[in-house]
Amino acid sequence: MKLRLLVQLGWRNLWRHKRRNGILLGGITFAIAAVVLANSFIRGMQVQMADNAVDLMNGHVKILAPGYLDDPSIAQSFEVAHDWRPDALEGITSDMVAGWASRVRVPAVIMSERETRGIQLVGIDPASENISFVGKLAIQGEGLADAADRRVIVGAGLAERIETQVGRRIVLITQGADGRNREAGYRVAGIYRSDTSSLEKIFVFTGRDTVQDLLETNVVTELSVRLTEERFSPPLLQRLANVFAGLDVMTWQQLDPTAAAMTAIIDVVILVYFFIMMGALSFGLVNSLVTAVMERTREMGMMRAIGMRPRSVLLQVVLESTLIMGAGIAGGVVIGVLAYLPIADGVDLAAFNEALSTFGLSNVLVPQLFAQDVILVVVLSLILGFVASASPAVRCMKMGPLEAMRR
Amino acid sequence: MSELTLPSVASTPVRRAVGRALITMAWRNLWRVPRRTWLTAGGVGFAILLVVFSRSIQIGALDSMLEVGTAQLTGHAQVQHPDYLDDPRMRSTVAGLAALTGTLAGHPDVQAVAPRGMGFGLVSDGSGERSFGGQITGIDPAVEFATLASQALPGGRPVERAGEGFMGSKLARNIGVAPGDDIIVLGTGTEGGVAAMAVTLVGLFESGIPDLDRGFLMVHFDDFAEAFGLEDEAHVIAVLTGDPRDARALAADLAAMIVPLDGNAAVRPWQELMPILEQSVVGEIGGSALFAGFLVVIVTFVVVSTFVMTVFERTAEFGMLKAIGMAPAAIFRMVQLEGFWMSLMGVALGVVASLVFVYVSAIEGIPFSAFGDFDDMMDRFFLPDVMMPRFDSAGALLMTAMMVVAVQVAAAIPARRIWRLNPVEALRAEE
Repeated sequence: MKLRLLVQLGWRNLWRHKRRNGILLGGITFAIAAVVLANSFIRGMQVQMADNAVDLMNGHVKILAPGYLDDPSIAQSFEVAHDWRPDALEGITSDMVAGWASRVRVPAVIMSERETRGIQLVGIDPASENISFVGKLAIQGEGLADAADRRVIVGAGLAERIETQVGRRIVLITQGADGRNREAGYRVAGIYRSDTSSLEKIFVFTGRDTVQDLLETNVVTELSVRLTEERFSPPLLQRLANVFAGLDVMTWQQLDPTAAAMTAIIDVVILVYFFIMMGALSFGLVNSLVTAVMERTREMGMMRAIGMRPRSVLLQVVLESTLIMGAGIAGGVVIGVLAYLPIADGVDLAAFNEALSTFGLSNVLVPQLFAQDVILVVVLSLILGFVASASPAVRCMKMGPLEAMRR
Repeated sequence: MSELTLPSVASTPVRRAVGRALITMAWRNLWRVPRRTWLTAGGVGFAILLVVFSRSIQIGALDSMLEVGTAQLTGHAQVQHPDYLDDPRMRSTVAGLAALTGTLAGHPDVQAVAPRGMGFGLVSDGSGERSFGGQITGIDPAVEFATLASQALPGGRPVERAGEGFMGSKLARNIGVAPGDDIIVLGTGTEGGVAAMAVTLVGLFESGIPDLDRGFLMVHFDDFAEAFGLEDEAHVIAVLTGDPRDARALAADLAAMIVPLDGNAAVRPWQELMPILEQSVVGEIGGSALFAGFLVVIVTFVVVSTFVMTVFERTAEFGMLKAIGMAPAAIFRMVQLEGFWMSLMGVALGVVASLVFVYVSAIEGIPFSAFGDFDDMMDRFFLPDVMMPRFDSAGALLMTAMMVVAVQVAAAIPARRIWRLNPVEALRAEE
């Protein structure tokens, strides 16, 4: 029997029970829309977590001296030529690289006239920090001019704690490679605010050369490279491992295992969400399909009697299920996308601020709708439609024409 | 159409008999198509199982998060200077310590009271060559309950008497000291002067929380008080109670007891001290409510489609019932009763399945490692190695109520047509 005829028959059969199938269609549409929308939120969280981990001065790839992570001091450091660039490496082109930055990051103590606090002192070249959160900070006062700037930038949370202000002086104490403490006075150029309040209390920034002068050295403790896309990471890792033999070349996933684990688990969460929603729906789907077959037993028997093949009967039931599923999927995807559009710029979640920032999320969650997720939902739902129609279809096929017509 | 109705003057016993008959009929009607009934009730049960079981895991995890998280250091509530929470300064102390601790300990729900002095200082090795900044906490070993203060790495022990220090393992490594070495602490006292103390390191701890391991030193309260200039005062008085979930009520209770004594004290429950913990609890519960909401709507669709089938298939039957004098309201009631039986079955399936799931998984607990590599996060959020699900009875009740209502609504939507049914036409409808 021609497929076209079967499709036509299936389509008309669906219309015989407008109400029942309409409601089933509504259920499928709602479930698909809910899954699409939920996916966009979950993906949004994932993208943001990964972005923030990269932003947190990790970059996609970071080079560190062995032992620095355990004992972050200037003793665990290395030299980088001033004109070093990752896109000079073989196989790495400039359009793969978003930027790179070398820094001197050491634990230090900051003292104002009133208070003393432990902090991380980071010597940076402000021109290259567009690759991290440092380049995006809102600063009251002035930012650092260049790598030789002898002023500091402190977080608002820390400034409050140690009671300092723009223009005031503070003293920084840190340990040199020889184990002796160095201290020097600096002027506060600006006070920064960050989405993540804990950062404000930890990081104090000044020029990279300034920290090197203080420590009487020309080494750096870290070199981050940010890529335009995550997928360029493996080739870069390879090249860097060759160039910086003896140093640790690490991905952001290795540097921030929590964020990496969270982003990895999200791929699973998306599937779990799908199977739960569609699992609940499949009870209704199976129910309707079985009923549709059972109440048409006589009709099916008649079709068989006039020469319809068992295979065609089976195909027809599957087609009916696929048609209604297809319509539901189309409607659900459209509604899901329409619901996503007004929130595509982000949803303010200020109420959960601190907990979110601990997870590496900021106040505004930007949902992400990926074509691949929508395709996944569509394909999995179609498969589910097939599976749900299997039992009624087989039941229908098994019945002999005479037996069926007698019922 | 002139309706034939049951005599409205029917006596109460008759009404009761009709009511009983309807209940029985509804139950029997369900079993005319057992497969459909099972599938629909199964859908209801499935939704209940998913919501209740996932919430049970969540509640179990949150319970231990609270327990571990509060016991480690913070306690269930703290008495502090009113300004201390927002702006922890050396001079923001609560005075009248001896009297306060006595009053607090007198409350029947208070299990432990631990005064602490807290400040920031520069911690150096004996020669003063290597120094790191750290949080200095003075504790009284006799009353201190913080688990952090009692778990030393092998080769050391916690602070037991004055002149001793106990610090995070990473701080010790950064400074280059080990148990047995002398350490020097420099800070700023309550009056702004230099506070200095020398103690002998007796042990190290490893909490897994980077901030603590890298920058936390515990000394004896007496040493702290002397160095920083505290006189019968402390920065916080931490309190432990039976159940952390009662902390807010306890804090209000304690505040009523002590604030009249000294206006310069506030009682903070852990929710205010550890907002991250509180918000992650609220956030997770919000997330699961959204999830439950989606599921209820989907299952309602499923149930509506079932009842559409049920009602339309039985057009002729309803017409007959109407023709022999049954009131539309009574037929409607019968359909609603069918829905009620159906939802009861679904609830029973769902609740029993959840109980079984929770019971079985609570025998061994669910290891967090089953979900991925979360060592780092487990420490930071005080997660235990295994989750012990605790049956979420409130969630089960709420889901039961929601599903029963949803099924009643779902049954009512198609059943409205019973009133419009013309018995003659309905009877003609194909069986």
